Amino acid sequence: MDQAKSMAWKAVAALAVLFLIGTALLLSFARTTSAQENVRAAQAAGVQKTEGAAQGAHGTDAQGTGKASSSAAGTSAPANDGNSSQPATAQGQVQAGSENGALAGGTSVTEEDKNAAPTVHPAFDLTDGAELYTAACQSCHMPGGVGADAGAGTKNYPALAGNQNLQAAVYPATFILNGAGAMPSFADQLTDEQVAAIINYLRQDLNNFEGETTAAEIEPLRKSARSTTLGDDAG
Amino acid sequence: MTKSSVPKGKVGGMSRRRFIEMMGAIGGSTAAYHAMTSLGFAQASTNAVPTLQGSGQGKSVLILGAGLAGMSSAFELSKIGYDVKILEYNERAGGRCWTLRGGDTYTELGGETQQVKFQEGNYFNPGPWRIPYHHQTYMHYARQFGVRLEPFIQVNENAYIHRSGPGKKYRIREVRSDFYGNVAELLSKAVNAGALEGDLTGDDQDAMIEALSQWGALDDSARYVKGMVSSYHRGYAVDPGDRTDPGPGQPSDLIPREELLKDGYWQNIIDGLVYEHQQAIFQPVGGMDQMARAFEERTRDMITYQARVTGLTVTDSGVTATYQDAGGAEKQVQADYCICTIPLSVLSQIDLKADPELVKATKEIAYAASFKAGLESRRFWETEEHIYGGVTYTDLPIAVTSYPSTGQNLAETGVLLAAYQFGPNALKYSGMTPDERLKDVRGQYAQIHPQIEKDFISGVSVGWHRVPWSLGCYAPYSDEQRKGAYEVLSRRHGPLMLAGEHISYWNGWQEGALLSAMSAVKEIHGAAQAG
Repeated sequence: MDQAKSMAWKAVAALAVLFLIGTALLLSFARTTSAQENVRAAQAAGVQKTEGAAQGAHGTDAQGTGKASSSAAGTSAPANDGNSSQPATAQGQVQAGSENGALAGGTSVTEEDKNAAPTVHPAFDLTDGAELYTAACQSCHMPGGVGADAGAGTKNYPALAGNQNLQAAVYPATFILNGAGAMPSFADQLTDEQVAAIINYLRQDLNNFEGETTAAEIEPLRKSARSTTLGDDAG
Repeated sequence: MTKSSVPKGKVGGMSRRRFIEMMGAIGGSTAAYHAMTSLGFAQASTNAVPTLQGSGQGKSVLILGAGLAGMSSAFELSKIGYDVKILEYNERAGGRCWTLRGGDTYTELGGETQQVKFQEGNYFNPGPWRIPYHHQTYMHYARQFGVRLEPFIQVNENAYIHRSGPGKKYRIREVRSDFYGNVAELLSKAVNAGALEGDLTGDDQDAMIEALSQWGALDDSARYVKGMVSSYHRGYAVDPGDRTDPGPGQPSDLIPREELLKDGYWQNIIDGLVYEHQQAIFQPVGGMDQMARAFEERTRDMITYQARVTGLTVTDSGVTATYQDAGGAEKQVQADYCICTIPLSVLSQIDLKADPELVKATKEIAYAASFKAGLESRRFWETEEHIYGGVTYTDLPIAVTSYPSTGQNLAETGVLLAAYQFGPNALKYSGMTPDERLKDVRGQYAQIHPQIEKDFISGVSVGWHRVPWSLGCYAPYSDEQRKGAYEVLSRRHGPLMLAGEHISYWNGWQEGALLSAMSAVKEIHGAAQAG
């Protein structure tokens, strides 16, 4: 009986905490801005993501490639990147736009929130440029970057192989981080290292352009990145 | 329906949907509903089919796209005398209201062609596959056209929630009952300990204890334990039967509480409780395209098939569309008004000469990624596991799987939905060859149902970014875009209005296409009457 009582009291304590957290979470979530939601989402999934990111970083280091050492700082966990104080124009726009929205709930956006950088949720547990291309880009730009032009559109999916625009690394970087038209932005799904790896694959393997793009070159481009969603539900 | 403004990786954080599911799991549907309303989710659609007064005689309307939005617009406008023409890219009408059957071929962008080999009577809906009861515009047309509906089994308590880490699957009834039972026991303890005295008066406390006992299947001591009481909710180890053996049956073991929480089984008990999935929910008998066929029967004479629109010029006095016909010849068609239902993914590539604000808005919406795979198989899920329709959830990339909601207990074979993905995984799977996809999907599916390895007959897969005429699945908006591009896209621009799921808050649902078509018809007719 004593044991049962003790169990019961533990349960009561746990329950009280659960309710407080639940209520607080409900209130704060319902009154949050989309940017806060993003950060919260990252925190909520923090364990999983940190693990994933650590694996990614570990994998890169283990390979001992030049890329890994040159971007040692950049291989920090993306979840931490998300909490860095790098101000981001795109994020600021999202917040400004959300202030009067359904998510705002009448609260004002604090200074602290405005400085929150977009959170990257690495969606592909890969480091190799070719493998990343296969997972993220090939659905539209096709194997080998040949593109596709047999659809209802006038351009459909542009070829990336033999594409002179790719001479400048900033060209594919801009598309990857901003999207274009119906093309989604991958700013929230790819780390700086992954964006760089894809660009190197596009430029070096699919075209014969010289020059290595590093993660450090991608990071500043995020300031103006546009976030889009890849969808989550339909009828 | 309404999607979160924040992009969400599959690996990534808690989506708004996920949060609402969690609140539902903790607080029941009331908490979920309050979360939904405050997050902007809960919005009913109404039967918006207008009764148009007056005549459209002498006025022409050009409709771009013969999906549900285009055909319903044509149907309503032609009834009151408008001269309606529809240009359709495909050889068939329906757009994303689409069903694949044996004998069909599907060629995706990149040139891969799949021959569908399903047996007679089997089918696969690559796009929309269910109709909530509150999608009243759809229900109106189904009733009017005699499109037969049958229940779509959204929630089957005997289907599974699977977790790949521990390699375990539990029946939904087991997860749900155990989650409720644990919550009920904990809350009962809190009430009895006086922890909620500030929230509940004495009488209410008694009522709450009684409610929790019944809702959570608690025993006489207000505990959720293995026994016939909990088994009455979660199911038995041995079902009750006849005589003395098995007699009353035997109670089943509970899922350990820490396992319920740690492995997140609770995450999948809410999907069927959200407004857009609640029973009653339906599907057309024989495949989703039955509605497309019903509209096509009534609008066929207005449709020019295999017409690829390359340009649209909008002036104050009307529109001119340029298109390539089936033979590749360039043609033009003029009209007083236009309802354009071409997905933004395609429209953004067309030479659109119109209000620059509109042109800009068409280029701002990135389309959602989605992937589905269908596997035809002997119905082992019914004969061996007693699952008759419904949804099984897994944390594997295939994510959502479903058993056919038709032919249960009678047909020998059926088509399983073996993968239903959004986001990054959908892109990844869309990027594979059809053979690679089926191999991968079957391998994952076998972790839930090993029988698929021997019972698989044939399969088909559709990655929506490879669909030549939609270049993506649907239009997802951020909150910011709702106030910017969406508002522009929703407005009438002289003689032009857009329609389609992208001009609604029911994105990716047919009701959104129909609602936007009805409002376009009303406004075009109003403008025509005025002008």
